[in-house]
Amino acid sequence: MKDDLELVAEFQRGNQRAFDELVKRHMNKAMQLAYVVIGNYEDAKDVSQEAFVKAYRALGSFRAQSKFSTWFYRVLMNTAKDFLRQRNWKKFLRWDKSESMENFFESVEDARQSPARELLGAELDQKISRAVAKLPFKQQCVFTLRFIEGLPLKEIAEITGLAEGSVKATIHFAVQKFKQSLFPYLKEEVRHG
Amino acid sequence: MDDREEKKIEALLGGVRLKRPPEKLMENYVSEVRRKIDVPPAGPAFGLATAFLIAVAAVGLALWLHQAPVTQPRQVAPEVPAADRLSGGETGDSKASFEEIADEWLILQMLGEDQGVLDAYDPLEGDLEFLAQA
Repeated sequence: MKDDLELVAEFQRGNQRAFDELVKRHMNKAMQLAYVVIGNYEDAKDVSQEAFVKAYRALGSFRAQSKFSTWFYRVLMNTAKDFLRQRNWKKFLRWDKSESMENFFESVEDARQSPARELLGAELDQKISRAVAKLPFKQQCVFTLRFIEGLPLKEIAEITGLAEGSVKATIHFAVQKFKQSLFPYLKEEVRHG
Repeated sequence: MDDREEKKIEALLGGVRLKRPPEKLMENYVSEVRRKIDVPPAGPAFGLATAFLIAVAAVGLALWLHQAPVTQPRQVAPEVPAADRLSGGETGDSKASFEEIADEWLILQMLGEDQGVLDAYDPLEGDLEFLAQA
């Protein structure tokens, strides 16, 4: 199977199907990440598709200095940011209907899972979702990329356009806010851990 | 940041992953992206919000300009012909201004700040030299 950079090279040589393949590979992740910051699937779909359209138009000049996914997720985050700016303005003018908060995390069987997590299960998933949704946009992105996607600092810095030092600081503030929201559950963690 | 804090968060989130989007929503995802690509990009367009902001700014600017004080053009005194300036005796105003200038010139000389002043009083240079001799 060809890797992303090989598909990009093929696209740049004129093979349109190579781009379709890239979309198929990354569409689920794009939807998931967009959903975390947008909060509903319909808008997340529009935002992620718009990001792919932008990527299509810019891919001709992509120089493979980073992974395709890193480059694309940066496009996605910027597209999501623009969408939220417009939406917040509409909300301010009461032109947009209110969004309901949906749970965007789910538990999976994992050896790393702590005993507290097993006990608290679905309830905790919802609390985690709410705690992450409360974070400001930048902290949401960085927190999700660090703790859910498990990306290294360097890659998070490339996706968000922040310096590594800023990423560290953002993680720190995000963790503090997150802890405040989940304090009772974190205490449970300490008791069982 | 304390590594222990990160470890606690990792432990809490261990086994958490992002939910997969509904399959129905993803059925025609790729073809929809294709369709959007084939639509030519629209030129820069203002959203309703931006248009509203521009309208408010324009109205504000118009009101401000309407209420701003109208500045009068600077009144420039008509130039007095040279002959009238010298004689000056017939018209009290010319004589008064002449004496004022002379007084100021004396003060400047006493302070030692008379260098270059004559450049500013070029039309009256002859008069001041006359006064200096008096």
